[in-house]
Amino acid sequence: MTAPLRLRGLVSLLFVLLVWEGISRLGIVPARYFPGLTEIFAGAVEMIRNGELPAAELMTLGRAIAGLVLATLIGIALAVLSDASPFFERGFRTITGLVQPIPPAAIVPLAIFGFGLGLKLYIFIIVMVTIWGPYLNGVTALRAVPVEQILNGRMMRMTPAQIMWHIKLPAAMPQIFAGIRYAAAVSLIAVVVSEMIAGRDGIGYLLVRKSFSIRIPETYALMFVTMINGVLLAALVNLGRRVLTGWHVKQMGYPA
Amino acid sequence: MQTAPILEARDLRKAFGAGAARTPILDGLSFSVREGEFVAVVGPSGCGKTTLLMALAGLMPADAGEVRFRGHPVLAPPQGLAVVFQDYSRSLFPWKTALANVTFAMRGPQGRATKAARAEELLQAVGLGDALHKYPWQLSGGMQQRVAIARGLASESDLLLLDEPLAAVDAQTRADMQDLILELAQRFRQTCLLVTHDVDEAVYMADKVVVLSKRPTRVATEIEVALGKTRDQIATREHPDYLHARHEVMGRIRAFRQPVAS
Repeated sequence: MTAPLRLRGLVSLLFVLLVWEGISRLGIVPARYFPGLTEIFAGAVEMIRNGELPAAELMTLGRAIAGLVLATLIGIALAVLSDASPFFERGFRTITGLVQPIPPAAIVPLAIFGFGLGLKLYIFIIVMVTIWGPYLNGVTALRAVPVEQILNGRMMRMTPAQIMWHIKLPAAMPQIFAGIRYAAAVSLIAVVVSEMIAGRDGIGYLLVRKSFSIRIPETYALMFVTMINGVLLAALVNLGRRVLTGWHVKQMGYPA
Repeated sequence: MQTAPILEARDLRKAFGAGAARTPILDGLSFSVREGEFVAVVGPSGCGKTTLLMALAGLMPADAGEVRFRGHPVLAPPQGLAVVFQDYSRSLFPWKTALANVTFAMRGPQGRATKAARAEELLQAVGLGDALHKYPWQLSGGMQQRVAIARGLASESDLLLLDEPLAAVDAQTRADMQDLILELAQRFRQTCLLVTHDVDEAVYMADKVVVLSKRPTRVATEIEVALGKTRDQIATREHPDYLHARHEVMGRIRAFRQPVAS
């Protein structure tokens, strides 16, 4: 089952590349603004050779992963708190409604005043826009744990904390991971947008610099890099999902 | 063989709602379970069997009256009391294998290996020796409920409460499971309280049937079933004593179905 699925992914990728190359060669769009794959590839190689791309990639991926892990942990902790205390949940629901719709780009200027241009800035922005997936899914999933499972825990004379750790969290984990997968994509977008605005390093910064100096193949190459980053981060989340909720992956019968 | 009561319900009362919407559910309900007994509680549908079970297990306090377990008032789930819930698909932990589900119920200080060996023995006893490492969702409904029963036995409790454990399995499986539960109760000297809506099941399995009235619920009558510990799906169900007890219980239950006013 998994092998044909993977193959299908590869076929889709080839299809996209073929269409790209086709458009470029047919000259529908001026070649200067829509370079072929070989030119884009050459641009990428050049950026790897002079060290720009590896340095930027390390920054961007590092920030996205660190932010995602932190946001996930905070999101789950807040979900647990919300589940334990309806009072907190009601209060935090208002804050969720207020903060969740803020686009990452709008937080950046404010965050720069507060945190400067260092790692703290990125962590703050990613956490602000990324915790909602794990948090909201966590709240819903913890509430949906079958009452019989909780009663079983109570009959085994477990404390509420033990019931949370041994019963409710494992039961909620598959749905929380659906939130983390969504958060992974959001986290990457937040990092690149922040880098574009904060303008010091990372893929986002490089993207702005290359496009402003009209280095078209390099700009496209960087866009492809952000795509690859998305796939990498999704694979990382899937790995965590297999480790922590392998039973659910097996039950579903395919890597969702 | 009169032993000390292990569980006693004394004048239990419970109502839901307040003011005009107040609905009394349990209305002064008393009965007891003795050590080694298999007691069935049977009543018309909607008579508050689940409310009663929650009160007996210490999961929800009654408004008045008391539950005593081994002589002590029950205010929270006491040690030595286990419950097998009706809906096995919601009661087993889907992230644990059959074996892990059973060992999870052993909260004692024994080592991991001791627990695993005991769990394996119990799963073999319920006929799941070759499904130890299967997840609940890989098992049929009847098999899942057998895992739940093995888990109920695993805590080595003084009393096992069975809340309609066979309501969701098909008729053939139900007959097999009735015999399995009886056999296990004998083999592990497990005192059992079975809550059911099925009169035939209650009479077939129990030493004593507690018949509940309709809501607000009291004990309508208690009927001793003098059929001994060994039961047989064919012979027992044709036995005059079985038929007599069934007649008595069924008569009491059906009487509650009469409309209140004509």
